[in-house]
Amino acid sequence: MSDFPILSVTLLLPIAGAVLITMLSPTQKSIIRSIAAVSTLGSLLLSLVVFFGYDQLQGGLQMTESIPWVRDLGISYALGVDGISIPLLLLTNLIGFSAVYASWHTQERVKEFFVLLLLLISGVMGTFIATDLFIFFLFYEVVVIPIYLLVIMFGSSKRVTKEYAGMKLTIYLLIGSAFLLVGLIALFVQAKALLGFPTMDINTLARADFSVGFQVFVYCLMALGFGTLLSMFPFHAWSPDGYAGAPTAVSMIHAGVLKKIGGYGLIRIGLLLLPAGARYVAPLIAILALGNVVYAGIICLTQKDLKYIVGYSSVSHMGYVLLGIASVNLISLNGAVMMMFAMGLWPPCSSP
Amino acid sequence: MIGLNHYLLLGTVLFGIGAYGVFAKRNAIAVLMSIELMLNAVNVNFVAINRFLQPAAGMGQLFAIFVIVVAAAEVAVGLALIISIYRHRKSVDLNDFNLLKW
Amino acid sequence: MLIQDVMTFSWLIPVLPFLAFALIGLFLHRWPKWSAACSIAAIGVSFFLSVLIAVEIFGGDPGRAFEMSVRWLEMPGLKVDMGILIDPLTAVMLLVVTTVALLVQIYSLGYMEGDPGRASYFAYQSIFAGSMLGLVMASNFGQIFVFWELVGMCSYLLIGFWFGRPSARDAAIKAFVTNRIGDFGFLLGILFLIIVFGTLNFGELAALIPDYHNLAVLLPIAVLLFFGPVGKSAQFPLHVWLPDAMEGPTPVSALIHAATMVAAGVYLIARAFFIFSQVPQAMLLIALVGGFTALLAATIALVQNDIKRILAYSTLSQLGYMVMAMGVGAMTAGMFHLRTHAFFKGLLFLAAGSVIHALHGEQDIWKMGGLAKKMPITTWTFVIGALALAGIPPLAGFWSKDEILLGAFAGGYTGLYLLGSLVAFMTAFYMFRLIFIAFFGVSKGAEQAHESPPVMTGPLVILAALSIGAGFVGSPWMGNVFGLYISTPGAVHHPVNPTIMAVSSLLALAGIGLAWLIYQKQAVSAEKLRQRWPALYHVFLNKYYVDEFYAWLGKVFVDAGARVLEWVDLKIINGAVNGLAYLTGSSGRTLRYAVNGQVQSYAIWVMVGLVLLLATVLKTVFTVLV
Repeated sequence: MSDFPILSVTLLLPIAGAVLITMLSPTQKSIIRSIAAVSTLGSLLLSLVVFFGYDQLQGGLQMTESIPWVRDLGISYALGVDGISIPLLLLTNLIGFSAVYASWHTQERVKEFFVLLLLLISGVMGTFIATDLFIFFLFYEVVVIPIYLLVIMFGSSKRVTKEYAGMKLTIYLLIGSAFLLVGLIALFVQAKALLGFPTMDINTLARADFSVGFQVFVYCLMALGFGTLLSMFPFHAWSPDGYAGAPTAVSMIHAGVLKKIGGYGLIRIGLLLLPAGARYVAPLIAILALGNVVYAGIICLTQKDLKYIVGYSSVSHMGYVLLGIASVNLISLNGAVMMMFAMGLWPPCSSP
Repeated sequence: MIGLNHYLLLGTVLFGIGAYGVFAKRNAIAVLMSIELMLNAVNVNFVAINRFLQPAAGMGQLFAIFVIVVAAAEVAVGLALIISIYRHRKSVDLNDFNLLKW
Repeated sequence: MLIQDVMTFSWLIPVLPFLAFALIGLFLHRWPKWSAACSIAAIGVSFFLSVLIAVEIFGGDPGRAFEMSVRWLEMPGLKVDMGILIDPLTAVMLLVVTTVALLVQIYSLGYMEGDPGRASYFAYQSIFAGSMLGLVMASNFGQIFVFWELVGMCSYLLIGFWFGRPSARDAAIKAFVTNRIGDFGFLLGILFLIIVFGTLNFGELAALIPDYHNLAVLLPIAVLLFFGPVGKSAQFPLHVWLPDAMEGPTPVSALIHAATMVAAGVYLIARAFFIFSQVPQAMLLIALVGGFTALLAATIALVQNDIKRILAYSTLSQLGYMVMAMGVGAMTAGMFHLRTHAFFKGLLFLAAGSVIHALHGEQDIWKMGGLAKKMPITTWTFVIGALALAGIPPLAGFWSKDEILLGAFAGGYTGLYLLGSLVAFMTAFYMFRLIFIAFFGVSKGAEQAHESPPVMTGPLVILAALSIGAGFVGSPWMGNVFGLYISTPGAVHHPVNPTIMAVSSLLALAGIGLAWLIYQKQAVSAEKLRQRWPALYHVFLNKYYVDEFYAWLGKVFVDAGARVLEWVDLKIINGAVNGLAYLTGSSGRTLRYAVNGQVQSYAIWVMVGLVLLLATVLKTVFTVLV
């Protein structure tokens, strides 16, 4: 059991499902649905196994897998879970399975819908269990494309058209990821100079002793990148429109887990690699987080469309997560992760 | 005494006239002729430099002949294109040939 | 030993109703009869266990307490336990809650007969009972807050039970939002406590706080904690939700909005008395808020015409009494009144429900009249309840109300004592106004009325018996057993004062007499009184325009603020984003004129580029050479 690559299988099951579906005819709707359901259910069960198989007493990274990929750049296909990623992995699969279930009666373009949905689920999952920066970033990018297509193909036009909502969402996320990419490359280059060998492994990078100025610079880039994804005030404008425009299943994933990538990234990469930078920027982030909480909360009061209410309130709630991260202490981080899990569960419940 | 410089000057002037024709003429045939002028300016340069600097090699003359051959082929293709466009647009005015835009 | 086992299994008391809720919600909701049976069985067992616990607690020393807990979460700097604490205070509350809940659920069998939502009704009743029991058994502030919110949620669900009616929906939302304001302060107070003292356990805090003399810290804590009772026990200025909460089914009003949940605030003050009693300013605030609420609600109740609303304002007034008792330091008297009030107010509501049931939803007292002949059991139990509420000796309300007045008088709060006496007079008056109009007098369209089935009158009779008898345990001539057990350091006891007893009884009798004169004998015309003081009448009838004021506040500040921020979001933030997009687009649109499709212009650009490139290259070459 110990050498069974459980994380890889969990991660790749939805992708395998998507590949299988592409080989089917668009008219075989029930088979397509069944494949989607079976693959996400499989992932859900496996993530439950991961959840209960995790040794809480020992802690740390467990169930790690690592296959070297590009040696010259120190990139390897590395997966692993710890206390921060396990709840989010479980959450993703829970919501992924429910999303398939919720879109059971989709009638148009069933094939494309489920292929994209499965890719999206895999992408989100990948970011949560990757322990290699490059793999993390790769899955982060994998997320954006299906969500764009899903919104513009299956979405609904409310206050704004679905094309506008989808494009806004995509551009926001891509600009955010551009900042992130700069930060990651800076980390890589600096770490190579400090450690003497190239590596993308997060835990190895954490050993490098970055200077405070550098940490502040990179953390600011991360905060911009992840903050956009996390809908940090004032970079939240994509979220309500994107939420309202997206089809139900995508809204579930969007408000349920997509934003948690931002919080997770700030904790996993921001706080772990750049603690000094995080402390330095924390007051500013905390103020912006309060902006989220209060500002979006008040806007909720005038909304009449349920999806906009959920959209703005998820912005408001991510403010609490951000506040927890900005507080930089054990209790607040626990609270932030717990909050991410808890609030991941409710928007899907209230998705109309 | 006529030296290398005079030939080069002739080549430059010829090239300039040709370039002007290419950029400024509105008639496609005239543009094609201007291109011929520019090619011939190059030919003058080739031959002159061969004659004055390395009389024994003869490489310049060779290239000039190549250019003349290529120019002939080019004129053939160019005229064919112009005739083809003329059939569609009933014009050889370059202002009407604005297909290459957004 | 059996008794010890009872204590170890006491955690079953809240858990059983929760189990019933889960069972009904998951499996039984298709069969309303089984749902009801399941719910009643669960609360019945809880009642039985509570009785065993009461026997154990009141059979032993007064200071006896039982506590057990499990660690819920622990990390450096934060420990939260889930535990139960059983001391006399808890035992009393357990008895009150389980008794009333059990009787109300049995009564509901008759009252909710035929309602399509019966199964969920009983599910909500179960989860409410579980949460309320969890609240009174909690051993720390964190846990009490969790259950505090849960009972608030149940209240929301049950007020809005007939959510098809817009008024019920609005009332539910109003109750929830108003309670949130109180809970917000309560939560801040709890956070303050954990920051300052590092623990939330009642026992540990009670040991720490008397030695902590920093009033600048204790005062905000006490005031913030008092926010919770202000919301939950509907004290001024957050009292507005309770009258509207009468939109729920009447048994719900009896259980949640009269007997138990609204008393949770008073219970909290009693439980945290060790904090409040350290801060005299907070105590004064509590006493004033309580007294003011008592007076305010009593005056409004004088002119209301809806049977449930009169009872609701009466509840408000009595809650004000209890809170005032806490504030003047008479914690025992407050808890005593809570207990007797739970019985007689539960009785009054259930009897009113019986009337409403018989009249098919009619709630206007002017359209009733002459019910005494048609519904004898309901009428006489209602009269017993009203007598107990009015404070006629030797019924339950007399003893507890007398204790409160005594506490106020002996504690030196003469103003509050006079106010309390005035309220006692008004209470007797409005209750008997209601009785003379609705139950006696001429029948007005109530010919169809008939007595309710035994499943509804049974609980009425039991509660009437309790309303008569429940006061004796606190009677000074029976040794004041209640005061012996329910007491904490800081609570004061005063010797009996027969004058106060006599005065309050006489005032109550006077109130009844006046009501008799006006509404039965019609010796004094109510119409003339109304015309004499029209302004006063309209202020009372319109509840001092507090609702209108709040609506105005909400409209002016909250709505307008939200609109302004939405405008900012749409125009400024989204505007910036769209502006950036427009800038990109328009620069593209402008620059594309350079791409005009003319081969010659492209060639010129190529030429210019070539020349520039050549110039740069040549320049470098020349600089190197020269």
